[in-house]
Amino acid sequence: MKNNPKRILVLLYAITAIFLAMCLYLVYFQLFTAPKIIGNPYNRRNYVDETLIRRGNFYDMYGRALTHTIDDAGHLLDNPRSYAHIIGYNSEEYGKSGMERTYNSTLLGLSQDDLFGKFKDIVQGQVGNDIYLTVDDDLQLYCYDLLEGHKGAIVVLDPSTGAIRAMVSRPSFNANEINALWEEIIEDEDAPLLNRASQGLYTPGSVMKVITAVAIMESDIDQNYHDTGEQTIDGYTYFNYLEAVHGDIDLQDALVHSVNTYFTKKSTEVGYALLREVADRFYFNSAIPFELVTSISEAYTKPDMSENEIAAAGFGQGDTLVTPLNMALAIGAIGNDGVMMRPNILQEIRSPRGVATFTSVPQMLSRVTSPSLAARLTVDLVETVNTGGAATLSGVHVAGKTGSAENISGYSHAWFVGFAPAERPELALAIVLEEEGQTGAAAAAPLARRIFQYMLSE
Amino acid sequence: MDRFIQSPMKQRLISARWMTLLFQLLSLSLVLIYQRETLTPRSLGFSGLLIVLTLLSQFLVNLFHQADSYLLMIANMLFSIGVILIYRLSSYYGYRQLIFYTLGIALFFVAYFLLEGTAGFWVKKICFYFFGAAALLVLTLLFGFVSGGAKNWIEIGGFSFQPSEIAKVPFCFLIAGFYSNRERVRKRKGGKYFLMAMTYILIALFFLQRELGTAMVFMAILFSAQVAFEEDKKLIFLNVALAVIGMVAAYYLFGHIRTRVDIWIDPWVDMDGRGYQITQSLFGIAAGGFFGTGLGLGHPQYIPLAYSDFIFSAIAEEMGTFMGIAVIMLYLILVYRGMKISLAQPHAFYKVLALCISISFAAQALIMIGGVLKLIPLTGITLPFMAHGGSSLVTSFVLLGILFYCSNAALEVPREE
Repeated sequence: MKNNPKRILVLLYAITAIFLAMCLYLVYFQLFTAPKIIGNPYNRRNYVDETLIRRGNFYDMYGRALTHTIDDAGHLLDNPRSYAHIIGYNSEEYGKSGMERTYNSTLLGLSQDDLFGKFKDIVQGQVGNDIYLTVDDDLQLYCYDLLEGHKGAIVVLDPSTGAIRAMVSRPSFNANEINALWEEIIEDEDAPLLNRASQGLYTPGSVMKVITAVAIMESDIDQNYHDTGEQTIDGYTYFNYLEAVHGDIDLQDALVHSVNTYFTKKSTEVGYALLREVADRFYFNSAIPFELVTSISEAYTKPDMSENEIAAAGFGQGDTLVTPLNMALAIGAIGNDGVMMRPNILQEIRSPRGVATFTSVPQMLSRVTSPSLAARLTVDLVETVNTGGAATLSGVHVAGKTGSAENISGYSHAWFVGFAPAERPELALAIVLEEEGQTGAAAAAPLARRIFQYMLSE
Repeated sequence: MDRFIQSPMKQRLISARWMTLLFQLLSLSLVLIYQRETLTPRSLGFSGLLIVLTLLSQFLVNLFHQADSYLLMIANMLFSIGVILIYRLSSYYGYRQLIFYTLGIALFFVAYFLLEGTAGFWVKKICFYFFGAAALLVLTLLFGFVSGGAKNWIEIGGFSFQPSEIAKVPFCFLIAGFYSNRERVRKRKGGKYFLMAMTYILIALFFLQRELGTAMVFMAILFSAQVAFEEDKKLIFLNVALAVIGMVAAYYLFGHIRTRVDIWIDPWVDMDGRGYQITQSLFGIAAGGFFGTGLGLGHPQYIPLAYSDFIFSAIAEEMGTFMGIAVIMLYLILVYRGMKISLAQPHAFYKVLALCISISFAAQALIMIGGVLKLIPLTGITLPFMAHGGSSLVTSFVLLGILFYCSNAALEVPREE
């Protein structure tokens, strides 16, 4: 027999390493895997617990209560319609939506690892964590009222942090009465359950010209153009809105007057590769990380697009589909020196004892373009708003772009995207009025003006 | 033994014994509070008996000045953690486990004295060990019945037990016999392949019983013994190659093995069916957090077989991940001491034996804890000293008794034949 102590020692070291690795894995599991699986519907612990736990409440960015505990376990929304898509519903029969769903285990306090909290739970009964949103309650209610009588969505955010200040989708529903209204809600053809702000996919129309403009500025093509009121590409002829003729123009003029012919021609000159690359930087075609369910915007998805399809996509028609959230982030990125921030609606999680156990930190999502290019584009967008007039404010420079998107319904979507103050934006927003049948300038821009006025004028 | 080492060590032993007692008192009082509405004199009897038995066994073990008293102390601690959780889940299983423990402790000392009296007798009976182990397995195949997916139970006179658990004892002896008689076996034709051939036959029998876990334990013991003692390194590589081929072949040949691997890769697609056990186990561990829900305050009863196969998940849920880590560390210390005994033991046979027993504890703990954590495919073996089950508990204590003997002999003058 080989009698070599070294070999036994090697074996011992190996086994020790495996045992220690097992301990490390257990810690890893507890830190990273456990929070992900604990809210799983197959985890029966959640069902027994929910009726015993006082569910955490929601607050806005200033600590104003958005929900109130009504009995031992559940809570009701103070404004169940304006927060139906953010906070969402919580029903034993129909499940959960919105933040109620995303942060279910937090609200139930299931993931808390707080020794003193545990002792308290045993003595007093379990209490869930409270959630503080980035939303400004006043603004949220104001925006909800603005959309009265419209279908559509408004997203207002702080472009320097990505914090959502308001997110409204209409038609809405009473989230407190979900059990009674369920049948009615799901049969409604206007789909009130859909959060149009993050899940709605709309043809962008002229607001897409902002992104096309970035591609044109980054390319080395000639930015001047002679407009004759029509532009033929591959046998198909494009006209301007109201068949206007603009003569010799540059990019700024093209944005200010929303010249379709200019953008169709220049898009084909820029070409597919750069247009797609710029669109990808604006987070089209990939999932935007966000606490609520979010659709993926689509632009330049097919590498074998024809000249015609590129021309249509260049001014936001064709197969291009975007979410209002994506457009708010995109226009915000122009105002934020070309940096797109990760959107977030969760500001803080506080334990039942009022201690902040999680505070969100602003994260960069993408650098969409260079700071100098973003600054030049901002000047153009301020000029666009000043000329259009509908969104101007006295004393504050607003940068933005309107859009009127043709779609299969025959009634165009009215868009406005913009930010203000242009020099150091505090707010960026996207407004879409679905199948409004009016132009963005006529219908959406005045709403933007009122929001900016409400928030920025003293 | 050196007096200078002995006295501080003695002190540490005493404080370690109080640690077990302290744990028992604290956790038993929690269990009694939890069961306050259904409290009977038997509950107090259980608590009293557990404390008395562990104290008594530790007192007895301390009388053997030459041997390693830590071994039983660690096992007692592991057993206490396990049995208190079992008792909290089901007092019936708790009592049963305590009875098995009494038997186990008795056989622990029996094994020790038997070896002490007949130390030389065991060294050369290689074929006897092989046929002993094989007979246990063949008997199971012929007369066994299925429980929990594996045909590994056998009933004699009203007692049912698992021969595959007991087979670990002769298997460790078989390897020890082979390596301590290496020269003699080698002279025969093909003698050096003898051990591998016999192990593969036993493993084939396990496969027929669908006892995957124990097959893995046997393989781990054989491989470790080869790493430590095999002169011919080619054999180690041959063994690894064959094991890999065997695993791949088994995956394609046996449907139940494929199923296990599929569940392991993604249990989330079938949480109602085949993935139920492992996902419930993960939910349990996740629910516990680092500090646990507290004894009686979690829901380990949602985990299937929480008192046996999934006891680790139940402990992690109610006593926390920190207790889970403590349990892993206790096994590590046990294995470490076992391998230290092997290093110090001058007698070849008992040197190999000590190593094999240590590895058997290590392999069982790793395979089972890794299984319930979804690090490796789940197999139905038992966590030594913790999981409910007579065959497993008694066998573990017999193996521990043998290791205890090896530690005693390690400190004496070598007694080569």
